[in-house]
Amino acid sequence: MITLLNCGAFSCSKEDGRENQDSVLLPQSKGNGYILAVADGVGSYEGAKEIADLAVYNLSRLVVDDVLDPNVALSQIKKSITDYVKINTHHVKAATTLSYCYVDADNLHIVHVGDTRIYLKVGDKLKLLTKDHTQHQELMDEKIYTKKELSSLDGKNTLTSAISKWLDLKFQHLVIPFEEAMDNHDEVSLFIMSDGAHSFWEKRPRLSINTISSPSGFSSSLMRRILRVGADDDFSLVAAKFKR
Amino acid sequence: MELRGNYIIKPVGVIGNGAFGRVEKVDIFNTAGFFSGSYARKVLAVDARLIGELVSLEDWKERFEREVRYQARCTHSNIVPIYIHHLKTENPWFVMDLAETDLRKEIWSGLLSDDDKLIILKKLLVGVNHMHEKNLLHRDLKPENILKFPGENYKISDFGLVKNTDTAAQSAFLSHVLAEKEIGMGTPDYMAPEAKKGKYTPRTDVYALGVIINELNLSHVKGIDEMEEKATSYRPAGRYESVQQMLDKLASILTRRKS
Repeated sequence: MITLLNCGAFSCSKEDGRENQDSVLLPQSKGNGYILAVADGVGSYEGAKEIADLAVYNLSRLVVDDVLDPNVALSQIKKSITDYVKINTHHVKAATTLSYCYVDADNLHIVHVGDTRIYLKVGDKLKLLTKDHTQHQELMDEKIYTKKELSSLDGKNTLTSAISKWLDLKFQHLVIPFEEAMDNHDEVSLFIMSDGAHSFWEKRPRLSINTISSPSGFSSSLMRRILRVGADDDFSLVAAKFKR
Repeated sequence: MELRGNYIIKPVGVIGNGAFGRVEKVDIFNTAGFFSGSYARKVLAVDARLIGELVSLEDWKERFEREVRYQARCTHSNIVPIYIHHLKTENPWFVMDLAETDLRKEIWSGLLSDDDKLIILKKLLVGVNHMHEKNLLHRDLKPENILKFPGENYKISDFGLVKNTDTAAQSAFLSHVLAEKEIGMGTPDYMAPEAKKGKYTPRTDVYALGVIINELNLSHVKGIDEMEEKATSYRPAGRYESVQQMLDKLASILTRRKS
């Protein structure tokens, strides 16, 4: 068994009064572990919020065995989206990203689609575990452009994978033994952020060791930082610390 | 027979058919009945299989309208001009010059001399350069889309995939993925590595021009291989920054050839 020691979260729209197209799953006890997630509805098309909510809702209802098999989990979520858009035809192009972690005493299971990100605390830093499914990332992976060259080109947020009726499932799946993920005192701290949040974190990926060691403190600090500067997208975070 | 403005358009045959429509040969008369000439008319008639939940008939019509708008914006001797159009109709169409043939068939014929090819290349580069100056990317340059007209005139046609470099459409979510899934984008052999990932800049057209240079089979002309190699560099940073630079290089090749 593992224990949830501390968690922090926010999920806010870009502007007050505007629809928030992110959806979060706060740490939820499931089997012998916990699941947490962030989905970011793709804003270009109608139904973004509904699809993100649907993805998180269906994820929360899956049994542990299905959660641990990303093919099963994502196929079921995709099916729920396909069924939804059959009825809500004006949302037919809707899509969402989804990144989730399932943590138990043995492993961290990471499943990721899109450009939401999952970080693991290592010392006083956050280590990025996921790789963005974006055009820029693919162009760098293929060594077509360097990061510097891409900085002056648009398309940074153009996704190459998402969950949608129309797209084949393309995901990243990692299983990390709990021992390898442990930081201080046999603890594991995880942070899932939508792009509206991680873009702010990446601009200055530093906080005091005390703040970064406390998911609730981290959450407050990052949210203050975003609000001070002004959000450029909906922004969400779910952070949690577990002990074995 | 169809009346449009002061002209009567009379279809006399079909030149080509495709999933998006057809190109007809038309004779045009003025309303007094005088023959004004033979032209080509491109008519949008989308195959029902290409109309679905993702791309509606209206989307296809918008795309066609964009093609006409962009092509009409390029008034240049190396770009096929549009003379008459009718976009608010069930099967939108536009009238353009009637070509004799295209560069693909010319290459296959084996009748082009080195000088012919170099002159064609210059015309092609000048035309694409003009498009880039207008902030337009062609995105489907290939010999089939370089048409030959009387008087050894070569012009760029088929603006179906042209996009404006100013628009934000490039960052639209999955636009490339969805577009590719539904309609296919570009012609693989002429697509730069980044274009296959959905990224387009003027250097993606430079890449296609490099492939065309290769097909012209001018390796024995000093400087051409170097030009082709640079234009088709895997990394965009290794390519010519602009078509103007290619024109400068071609000018130096031609100068050396004369001397």
